[in-house]
Amino acid sequence: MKRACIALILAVGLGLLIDAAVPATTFAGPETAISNAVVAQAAPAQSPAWQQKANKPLTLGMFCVIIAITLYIVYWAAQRTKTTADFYAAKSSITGWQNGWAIAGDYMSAATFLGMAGLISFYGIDGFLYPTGWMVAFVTVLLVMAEPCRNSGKYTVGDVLCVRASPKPVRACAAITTLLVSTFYLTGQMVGAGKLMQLLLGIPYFMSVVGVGCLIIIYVIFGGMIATTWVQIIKAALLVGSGVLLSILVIIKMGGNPVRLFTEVATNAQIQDWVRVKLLAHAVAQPGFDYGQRFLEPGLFLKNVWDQVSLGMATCLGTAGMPHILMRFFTVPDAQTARKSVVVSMFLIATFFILTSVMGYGAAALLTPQGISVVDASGNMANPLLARYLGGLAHPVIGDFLQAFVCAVAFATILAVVSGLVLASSAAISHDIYTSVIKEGKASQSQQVKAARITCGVVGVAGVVIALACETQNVAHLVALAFAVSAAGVLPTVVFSLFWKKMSTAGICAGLLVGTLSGIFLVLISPNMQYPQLIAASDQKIIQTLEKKVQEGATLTEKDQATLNKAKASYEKNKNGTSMLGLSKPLFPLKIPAIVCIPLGFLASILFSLLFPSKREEDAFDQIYIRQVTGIGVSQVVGH
Amino acid sequence: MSQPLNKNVDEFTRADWDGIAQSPKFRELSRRKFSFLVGWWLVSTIFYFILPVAAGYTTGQSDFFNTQVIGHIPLLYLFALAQYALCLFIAIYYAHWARTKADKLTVELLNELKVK
Repeated sequence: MKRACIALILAVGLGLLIDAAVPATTFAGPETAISNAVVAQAAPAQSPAWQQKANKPLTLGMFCVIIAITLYIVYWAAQRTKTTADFYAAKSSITGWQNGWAIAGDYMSAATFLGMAGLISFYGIDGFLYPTGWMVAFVTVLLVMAEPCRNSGKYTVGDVLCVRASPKPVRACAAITTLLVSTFYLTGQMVGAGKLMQLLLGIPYFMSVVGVGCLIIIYVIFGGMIATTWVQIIKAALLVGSGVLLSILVIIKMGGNPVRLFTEVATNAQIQDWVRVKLLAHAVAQPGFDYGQRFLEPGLFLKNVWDQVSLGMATCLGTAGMPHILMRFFTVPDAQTARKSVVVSMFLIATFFILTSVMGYGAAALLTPQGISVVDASGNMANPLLARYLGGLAHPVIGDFLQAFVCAVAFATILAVVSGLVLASSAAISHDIYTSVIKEGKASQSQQVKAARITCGVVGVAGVVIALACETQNVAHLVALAFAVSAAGVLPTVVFSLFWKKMSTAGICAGLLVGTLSGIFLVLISPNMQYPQLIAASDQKIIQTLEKKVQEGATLTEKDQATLNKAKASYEKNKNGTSMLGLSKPLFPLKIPAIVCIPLGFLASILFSLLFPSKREEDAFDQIYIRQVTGIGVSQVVGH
Repeated sequence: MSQPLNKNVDEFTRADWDGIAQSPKFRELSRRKFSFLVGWWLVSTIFYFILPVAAGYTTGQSDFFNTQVIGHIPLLYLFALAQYALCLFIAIYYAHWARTKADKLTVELLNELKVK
């Protein structure tokens, strides 16, 4: 009891610590890096219709329609949610097609819909490399995770891990990792949601975060997995539908020829300017350099090959360990259905991800990066603006309508993804820690469901509080951290538990903790953190330049004087400062820790299993392996 | 041929599980599944990691992956699309393989065992 409580406090505390420790930085998530790019050139005197404020009543109306539909689903689902099997796994009665759409809905976040298109419209193909990694990740999910997890688990990652290991320590460690991964991911989503609402509708940040939080708590508490599944299915349909619609409109605008889209991008004078001045900082055009074509080539956003590979590892291996994705496999009756659902979701996700490149390039060619950044420097508005522009070609009202629709889809996306995360975290606390560790499996159904509902509320409120605390923080890399930690902690332990005879309790706990903590530690000493001495050094440069100007007899403009004073103050403040861990400069050069922490997680699992073997667990392997491969006794596992 | 067990899974003894693990049918199933999964997983993963490495090392406009293939479309974009194609191919092929090979073997094994 005591141990579990300490574990819980530690988990939440660590999550908060990381969140609080993350200052606004120079990195590199899709959303923020764009905002670091120099903001556009002066707006044209008469801004075009698509740049003007969204039609607020229409957009709000669309939001209300989404809320009404989803609340009706919750009402319907609430009457069907009585046991823990209903609450966590929708009675394992979801069909393959339904689960396929729900996985797609769970997986594609607002960051993919708005962020990736924005990134492509600002930086070209680098933005397309992110979703490609997320797509390839599903091969691992399909081949390695889906069926074995269905055959050996019940509601959570902890279930899969402790089939032959000692349940208490394994569940406690699994719950910590699940909570941390979910917290990182959730914070990224919630902060993004708040900022999006602010941007789309002008609703204050506080109001939007609290509003989104309340809705999600209602969904999950009353509707459990049944409501969450249907919210995700509807959202996936809306998302894929809007992606297809926008892409078709872009291609029609290109005369029905997709190749012309690329020609338009490469020959667009504005884009050529954007690449030359803003991205490459060439004051004078270099002879023979094709700046338009450069936009279609890599390296404008991700500049270091090791960052590229590390990001690739995080996206490509992290998905397979995401708790809210794994949880979806417990909602189907058997391994065959789990397999079918992954195949369905792969087609949906591939379709949508490929279309993000059409939308992103379309936005760049039709609206120009400069035009988009006038409205919003983060690029997140590329898709809503594109919708307004394309619809507006037919009639201004259609433009308004299409933009409102796209905003509502983004809203539904946030609701669906966060619901899945809240449900996964609540299952980790109430199923793994409360029921199995504290109550040692002796809680009644009604007690368990009650505990699940209470933890959902607590997790939801915690998510809102963290999101409010992080309003001004850069949270984009928290999402990358979530993927890195899940790849380093969850993936090796689950794979070895399922396929390696010698995997022991010690190996599982070590793999989870080493993978998770090394990922967090590496981020704490990486360039993502704030290093006052580096800030002081750049301040010093400004001061020197400006003072040299004064010595040469020039008088400073008012603006220059203000810059000088600001730099001096900032220099005094930062010259002796150190980062949170007392560092003067980053010890770890990469922004994404995956390339180091994933091998560490695998090594720790292997090493500790060999150092502390368990005869009992090795003997149990045959049974578990046969169950995993053949699905014998799945109905028994579900029926417990 | 495995021995029919004629009992519920919960009543299996250690010897029963060992027996299944040693049976030729189960060993064939597990061997074929393992080599299929590991093989295709390696194919897709290795093929994927060429992409970030290629993107990272493609810096000059005359580099191989910047070759303009169709109109202005560079090779790297088509290579990224090829990743999607391979993923979907593996998905369809695996679904087909599992349905016609693995599931069939599993059903045969379970029929031989006569699990209740």
